[in-house]
Amino acid sequence: MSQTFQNPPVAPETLPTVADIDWQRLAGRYIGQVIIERLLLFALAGIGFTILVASGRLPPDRVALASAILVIVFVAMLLHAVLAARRKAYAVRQHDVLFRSGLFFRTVTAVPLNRIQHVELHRGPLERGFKLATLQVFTAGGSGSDLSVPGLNEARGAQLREYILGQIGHES
Amino acid sequence: MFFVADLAKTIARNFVQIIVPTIAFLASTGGFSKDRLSLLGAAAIGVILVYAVAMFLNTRFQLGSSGIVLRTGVFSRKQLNLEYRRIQALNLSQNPIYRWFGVYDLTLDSAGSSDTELILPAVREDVVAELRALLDTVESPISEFTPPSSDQVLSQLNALDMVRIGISSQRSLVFLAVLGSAFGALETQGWTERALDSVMPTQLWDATDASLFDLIVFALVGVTIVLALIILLSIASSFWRFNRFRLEDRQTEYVSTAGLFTVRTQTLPLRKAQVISVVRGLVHRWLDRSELAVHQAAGRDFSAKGEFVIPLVGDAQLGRIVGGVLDVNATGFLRRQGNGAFLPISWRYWLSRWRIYGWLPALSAGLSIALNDGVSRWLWLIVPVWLVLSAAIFWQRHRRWGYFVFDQGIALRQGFLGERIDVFLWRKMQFVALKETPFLARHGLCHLHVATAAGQRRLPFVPRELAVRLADRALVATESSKQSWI
Repeated sequence: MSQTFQNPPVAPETLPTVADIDWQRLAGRYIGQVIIERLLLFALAGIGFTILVASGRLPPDRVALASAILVIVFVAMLLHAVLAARRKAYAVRQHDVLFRSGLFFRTVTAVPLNRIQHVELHRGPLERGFKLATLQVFTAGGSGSDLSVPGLNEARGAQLREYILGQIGHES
Repeated sequence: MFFVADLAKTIARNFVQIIVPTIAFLASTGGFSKDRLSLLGAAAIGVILVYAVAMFLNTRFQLGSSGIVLRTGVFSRKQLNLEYRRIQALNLSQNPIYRWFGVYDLTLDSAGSSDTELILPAVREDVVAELRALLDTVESPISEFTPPSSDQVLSQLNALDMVRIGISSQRSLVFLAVLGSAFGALETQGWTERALDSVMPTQLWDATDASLFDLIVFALVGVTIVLALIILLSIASSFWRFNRFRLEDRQTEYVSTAGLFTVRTQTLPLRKAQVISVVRGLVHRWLDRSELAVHQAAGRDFSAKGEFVIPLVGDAQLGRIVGGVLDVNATGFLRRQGNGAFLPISWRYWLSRWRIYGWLPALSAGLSIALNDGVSRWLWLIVPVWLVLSAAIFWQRHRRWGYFVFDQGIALRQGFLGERIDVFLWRKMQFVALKETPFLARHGLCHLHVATAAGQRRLPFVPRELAVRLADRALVATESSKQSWI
């Protein structure tokens, strides 16, 4: 076993860098899902706000200002969510899975396939409505899922899961 | 034999838990009469005895060909199955009663959540030997069993070393907490107000010099006594835990034995070490020693104390032990003289921390002083003092940050007064992430996160290009490694 193992030195300069990766965008419907999610959130906030106004705890002369702030915050949140969703992308290479996210606080995570413990395909009620799925990848390194790719077409999600599972079996 | 030892232990364990409710019960029903006390005591001991016997009769374990099965429990029964290849470490502990009977408590750590470890209470030495032999056959079928006679003793600590561990222990930090509460006590007695009154310029001539002098002497004596007590306690606890510490190299594993009353034997299978931390506090630096903690994959928090601790290591042994555990050659950077080998992170780390913790508080303090008319002009001094102080603090932190890249991994150094070096192997890595904030992106910097099965660490404020290369290096090493990472 130890005779066949080889470990030739690798010059870091010759390696493909993360910047050259062929990033795959998420399904266009994912933006719709994000918008609906935010709208639901806003509806909840709106209900709370209405109760606050109806119960008379908010001075009537402040209602206009408060609702203006609420709307501005919501629009900013919505804009941020949409732009962030557009930036999210994944890449599957022969030996690892990558995911990038974040509009201002950007993150690129890379999980080697031979470290993956298990893979989950998660589909919430909203995701099912949009025929989308979230691929969750677990390693022994973190407490939750270490890499989670939302907004995948159901078929693509299943495809990716099969590919990763196949590679895990192959590598180990 | 099991029976008596197990029984004695159960009683000892439950003693404290039982005494408190008993006292509460007696107090609430009135009267501590001798009869009632003895009656209750007898009843309690009876219950414990019955429970212990039942526990003993219901606890059975079996060493199978591929794993251990443990059945236990009186009312709610449970069965634990642990495969040999999942076992991370085999640890023994033996208290004086156990030593009398020649039995051990055997703890098996497994990879996975922290509470799935398996404890076999009061097992004989031959069972331990049998289990060891079984583990050896499962783990490394090729290597032959190394007899204990060829063990190499790597490190042995004496009483003087216990004192060294005691004084360099982080527990001295507890001192600050105690000091804080001492000042709290002074406050309630009005001492601080008197002290403040006596130093305030307006009332300086009212207070007599004697009272101020008394106060200072009192405070100094108090501080000295508390400090001495803390150090003594710390030394005592290092004797308690590490007395006659002995580290042996058994080729495929390191074994440490230590303890004053309860002797603990900890095993570290070398292939399973994930991360090594070298901790050098201020006193450590002064004594030219380090503390080593080896982290294994056990689902525990990485920032917690390492599971396998070598409390005191000299510079000469340090490279050998770390090199042995991680199977790397170049460990010169771990020596104190080798500190120059560490590369610094960007100075913008200092700038960003100074802005957040220096400027922001200074600005808000300045604003609140400006908005309040009644406050003394002297308070303005806080602003420049804090700006300078925080700049110095974060410059020092920035100086301590450093990284050293070697063939098989990376070492990250951080600290303030002391320092801590975490040594990672690329091939033990689980995943890697690059993170950047708008501030970092503007200056072409980013954070590099490295996650292992023992926890995550961050290398902040490194040039983006370098971080990408390091991440790629890590990925290549991980993906091409055919060795087991766990």
